[in-house]
Amino acid sequence: MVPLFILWLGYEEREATGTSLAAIAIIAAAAVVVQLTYGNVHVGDGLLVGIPAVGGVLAGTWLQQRVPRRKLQVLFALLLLASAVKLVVA
Amino acid sequence: MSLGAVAIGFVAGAIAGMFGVGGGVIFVPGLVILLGLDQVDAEATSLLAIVPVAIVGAYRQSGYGNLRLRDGIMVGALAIPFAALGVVVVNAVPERAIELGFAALLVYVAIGLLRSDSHE
Repeated sequence: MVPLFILWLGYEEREATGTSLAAIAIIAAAAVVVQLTYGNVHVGDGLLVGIPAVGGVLAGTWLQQRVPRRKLQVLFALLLLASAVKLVVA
Repeated sequence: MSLGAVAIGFVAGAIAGMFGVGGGVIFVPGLVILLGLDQVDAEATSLLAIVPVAIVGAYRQSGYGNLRLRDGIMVGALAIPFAALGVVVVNAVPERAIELGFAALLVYVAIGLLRSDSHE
């Protein structure tokens, strides 16, 4: 969604990240309601990771205003690639 | 194990705040690998965790002048039927296909990150 905000609507990158979060909140809320009807949501586990994540997002938005992001982007990308490998082989 | 869950949550939240994603790309593998959920349950549970993260993230970003609320709401509202459709599809196809599809998504996001220029 962030690249689309930048490419189609001409947003600056940080505006794109902020605005995309608002859209994500709505989309995730709608999707979780549907998933609840399938009985797939582990509410306890969701809260167990979701509550510390609120602390994480406060740290992340604070950091975004202050640190160069290139190294973080590369680290994040490597983490994703490792997760992908684990999903495929597990 | 619950310490692992706290760590997943914090890292996913920090990434959500920095990169404007919901955190699902961390929540889902974390729930599968560390908490042993199956793929579809992990995706469903991740959605629940994403809601507070995205709300708080958007609120913080608005404090930095980075939120265009009207556009965000419009894009989010337009996406609702597709999100619902996605849930139906995920529940209808084999789990292994979902795992492989999610792995492909992670690789795609990773490549996008590695190719993007730093703006700083």
